[in-house]
Amino acid sequence: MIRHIAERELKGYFSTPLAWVLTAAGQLLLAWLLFMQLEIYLKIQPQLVARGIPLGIWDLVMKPTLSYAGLLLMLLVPLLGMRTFSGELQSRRIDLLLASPATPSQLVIGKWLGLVVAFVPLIGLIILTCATLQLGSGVDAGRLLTTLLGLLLLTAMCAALVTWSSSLTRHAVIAAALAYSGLLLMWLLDGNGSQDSLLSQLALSSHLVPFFNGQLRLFDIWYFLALSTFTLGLAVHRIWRLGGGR
Amino acid sequence: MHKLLQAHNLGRLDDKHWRLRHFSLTLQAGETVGLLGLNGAGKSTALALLTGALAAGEGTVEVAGYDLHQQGAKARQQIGFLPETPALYPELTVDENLEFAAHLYQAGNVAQACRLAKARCDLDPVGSKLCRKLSKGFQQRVGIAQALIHDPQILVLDEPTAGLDPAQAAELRELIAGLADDRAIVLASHILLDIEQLCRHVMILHQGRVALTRPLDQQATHQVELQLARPPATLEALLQIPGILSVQQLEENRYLLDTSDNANELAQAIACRDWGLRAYNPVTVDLQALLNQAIQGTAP
Repeated sequence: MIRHIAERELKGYFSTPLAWVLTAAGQLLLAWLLFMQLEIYLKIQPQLVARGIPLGIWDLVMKPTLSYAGLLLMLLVPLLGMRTFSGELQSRRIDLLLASPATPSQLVIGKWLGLVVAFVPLIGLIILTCATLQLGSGVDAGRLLTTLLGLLLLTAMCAALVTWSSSLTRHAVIAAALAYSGLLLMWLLDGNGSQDSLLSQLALSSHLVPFFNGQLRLFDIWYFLALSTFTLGLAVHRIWRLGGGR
Repeated sequence: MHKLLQAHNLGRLDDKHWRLRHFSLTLQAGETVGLLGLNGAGKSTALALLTGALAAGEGTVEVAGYDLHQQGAKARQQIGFLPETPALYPELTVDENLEFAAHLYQAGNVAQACRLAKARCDLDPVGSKLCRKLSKGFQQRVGIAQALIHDPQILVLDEPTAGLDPAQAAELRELIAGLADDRAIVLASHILLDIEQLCRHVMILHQGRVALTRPLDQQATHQVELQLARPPATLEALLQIPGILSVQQLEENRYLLDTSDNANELAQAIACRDWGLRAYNPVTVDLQALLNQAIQGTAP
């Protein structure tokens, strides 16, 4: 059941130009940013070598580009997913979904999964773009894999958040605004307090950046999984309430 | 006969306001019941409670032997539901919409289920068309095909002809009538013609309660207008015929009978008397009058 709901979501996304445009625009923007970083790197590389500064292509080209990729995903996932449930509420298709044998958790997980999978091509292209640098430099495959995992976990978390926010309202724009507010808050938390403060522990970037450094920390994985599960749980509860608590 | 749908004392309380209360209904295969009422009377709430789209605050629903609350998935598989607005994804084709409905309702052989539903609703020529490009009539047909996709025993239709032109509405009524033979159908509408042509029983809802339940076919009307050439001296003579409950004299030779019996047998019994039977007309139900009476609280 979950697979079929996810497949329908995917079909829905890619049968309109929005998903194609977002994927293409995202990839173009990131490729342009990568080449900008690469150009700067090639300009300053002789000076770095001369001064013995041990910063390589990963630190000066890949990490900034991947940070942009993270930001881009935080922008695009709510944009594509804002109609996940609000579209169903707006068109009253929710009545048929609630009357069907599918449970609220199957509906929520199916729709969330469809949204996550819709971003796999873009994430794949980002990783592929990074991997092309391996042709001219020694880009670490392990770092690429941890980066891939980090971007997937970030996408899963953003998708869960917008799935929940879209279940709260029939207006897609409000759903997107709610999701952006939540993500912005998590992003800004990093700028306040010391590294060890609770707020800093909750900050999104402090858990995302280690993946780009090739670090695989259990606490970072747990952070994304916990947030995703929590917001999906809220969405399931909301759909359950819409059905009158069936 | 096997009871397909049994709702007992259903109620739904939202924000201290009863959207529906004391709603009971029993349906067998081949029966069609119409829910009639003004906007906000509780028709859509009743359908939502019967389909399980909304959980009942009180009461029980049993669908083909399965309790809707306890055995939700199995019970829901026995029901086909056409919401007020067909639940279509406009960016997908008719085939894709039907395929999704087949998966959602766990129809065994999806390809075969889609083929049968399309054939039944005359959708074969538009299978590959996007739903947003279909006329309102065809969109309603796709909605009905979705409801039929898993071959349910019970059909629940919310305002199936609303917004259609007269020709489309007539076609759709024909389609629904064809589905009624081996299924139980619950149909909510504020279009009297839908109820008159498709239903054997009507339930009039008003302010969240059942204001009136009445059979609609002429055999079960229970009222007959009688005209006699040589009427009996007293009304008592008419009352002595089994099946006549009360007699009201309309004019010198015309009477209105309240009956409890089969209209044809009663007509024969009266014809046997030497009263010169001139006219025997079972009174057809005037739905508009019934609705008005029910709303004003003066329905019999």
